[in-house]
Amino acid sequence: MEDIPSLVSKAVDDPDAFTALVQHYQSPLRYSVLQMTGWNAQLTDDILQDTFLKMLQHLARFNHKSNLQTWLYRIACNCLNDYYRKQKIATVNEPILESMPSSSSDDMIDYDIHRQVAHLLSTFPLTQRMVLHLHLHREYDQSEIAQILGIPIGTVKSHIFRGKIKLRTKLSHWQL
Amino acid sequence: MNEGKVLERVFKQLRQTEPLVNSPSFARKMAGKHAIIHARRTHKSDYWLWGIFGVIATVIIAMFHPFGIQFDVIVITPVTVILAFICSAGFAYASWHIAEGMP
Repeated sequence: MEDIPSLVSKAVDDPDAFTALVQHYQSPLRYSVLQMTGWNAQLTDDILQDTFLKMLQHLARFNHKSNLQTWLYRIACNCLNDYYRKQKIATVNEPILESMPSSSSDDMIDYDIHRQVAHLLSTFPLTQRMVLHLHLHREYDQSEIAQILGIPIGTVKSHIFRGKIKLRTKLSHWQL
Repeated sequence: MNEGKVLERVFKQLRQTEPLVNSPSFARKMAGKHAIIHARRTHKSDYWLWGIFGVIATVIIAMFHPFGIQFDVIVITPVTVILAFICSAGFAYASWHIAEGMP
């Protein structure tokens, strides 16, 4: 595969370059959006589609100073914010299972834990769930999260501190 | 095990076992969207060109038509009316494309 800056410069006019970018960034971005939507596959597909279309729309103005993946996270988070603002819902109303299933299969546990954490995060306010995912899973530092979400760094710190306390309480009876 | 360690272990496990959630059909769908957007952009500029071409053609034909513009006297004929209509339609179509914007 060609390098990312080369694909970015060609993607507006070249469908193959655009598809290569989509294929490169799709999986981590889809996984993150699944985590932020309580593992809602349909909603994730819509958000991802909007994200990549907005990327295409503004790609000519993208400055290579920032990382494309960070920029994509910013677009995806904005799309999520817009969606929830329109829907006026802050959390996904699905049954929450807070305890881990007592399966003996490692594969089953691995498969389940991603959904379980997504469901758990869906009980948190949207901004907090995005901050927690980006911090705990993607391991972005606080300034990068502030840049992605367009919020002050103090707010990020506050969300991480409070969110971790809530998560620890909810995870306290998980068996790993 | 204390609560803090559970949090760290859960997210460590998530990072280590993160599944690939690529969808080939999604990539194909996005390739299709790219083609549509690219075609719209091309058509948008095409119709502007056609509109401008239509105006120039109207003026030229009207100037040389025996019943058209004769020096500084403008004579409205069926030919100039039809050409003016074609030009207006071209501009309207271009405006529609621009107003439609990106999806």
